[in-house]
Amino acid sequence: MKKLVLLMLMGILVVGIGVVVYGVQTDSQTVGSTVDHAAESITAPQDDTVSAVRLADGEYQTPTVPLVYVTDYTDRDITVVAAAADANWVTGAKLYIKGGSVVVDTLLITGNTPEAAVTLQSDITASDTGALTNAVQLKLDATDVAAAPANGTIGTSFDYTLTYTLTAL
Amino acid sequence: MSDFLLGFVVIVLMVTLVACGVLGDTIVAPADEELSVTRGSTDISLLPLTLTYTVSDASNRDITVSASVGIGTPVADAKLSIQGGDLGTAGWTLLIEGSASAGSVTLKSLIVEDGSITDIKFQLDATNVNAGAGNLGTQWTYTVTYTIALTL
Repeated sequence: MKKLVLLMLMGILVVGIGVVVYGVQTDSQTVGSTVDHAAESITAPQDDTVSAVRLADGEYQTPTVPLVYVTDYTDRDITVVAAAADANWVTGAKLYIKGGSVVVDTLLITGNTPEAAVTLQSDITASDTGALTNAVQLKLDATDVAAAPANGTIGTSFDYTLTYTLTAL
Repeated sequence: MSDFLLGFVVIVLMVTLVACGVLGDTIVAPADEELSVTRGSTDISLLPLTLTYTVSDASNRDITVSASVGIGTPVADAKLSIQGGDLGTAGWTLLIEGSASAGSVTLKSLIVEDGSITDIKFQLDATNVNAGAGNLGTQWTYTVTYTIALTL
């Protein structure tokens, strides 16, 4: 019996040796990782030309290249405001916009008097190639332009600057 | 076999066991690393990292490496890759993508003597991370485990 116990002990030790010799050794390190938000951006639609005959309502024009944006957020809004870019604006001329979630004529500026910012779309979807649900359309309305306007000259081109903003309101 | 002889054998085996324990392999992982990347781009370790190891005899050993999620939640589709050792430094070998480990990668094989791997680098690749992915801007950790074992 005593010999048997000793033989079993030897067997256990042999197994123990095997574990040590053939055991694996490990060590680890930590790699801290962060992926930051991509830079947000908005690109206005391509420049456009709209025109109207005095006393007539012009037609909507759609810029060839649409507005696009990049964002990782879903709480952003896109707004637009207009301002006269030169001194040739015509008294009584009105620039309208629609696009995004704005589907009816919305006044941006009369002569050189801008309206409040128009929210084209709210809570947009995060995207690298985001676009408005409906492309921007612009229309010049000359129904209220007098034969001899107080400012500007009939038949002479003038510019408005439209500024589009991507922001969290 | 006499009791004396059996006792002697037991003592010899115990001494052998102690000796083997002293001569066991060792491996020391590189220092911790920090990688930060903007979505849509990649970030690479600035400096090479060094792993050291010792072996207890001349039997062939392999060093393998694998990655798992440590603390926090990875950004989906972010990829952690490694280079160095037998993998070379020309390309990258994927370790883990988001929370899905790519399994074990052999970093160096047929090792028969003490040594080190001095050209380990990591790459965090966020080129395929989608806009608005969860956990953007929030750090998480990967645990990278190095193992030295007899060559199979």
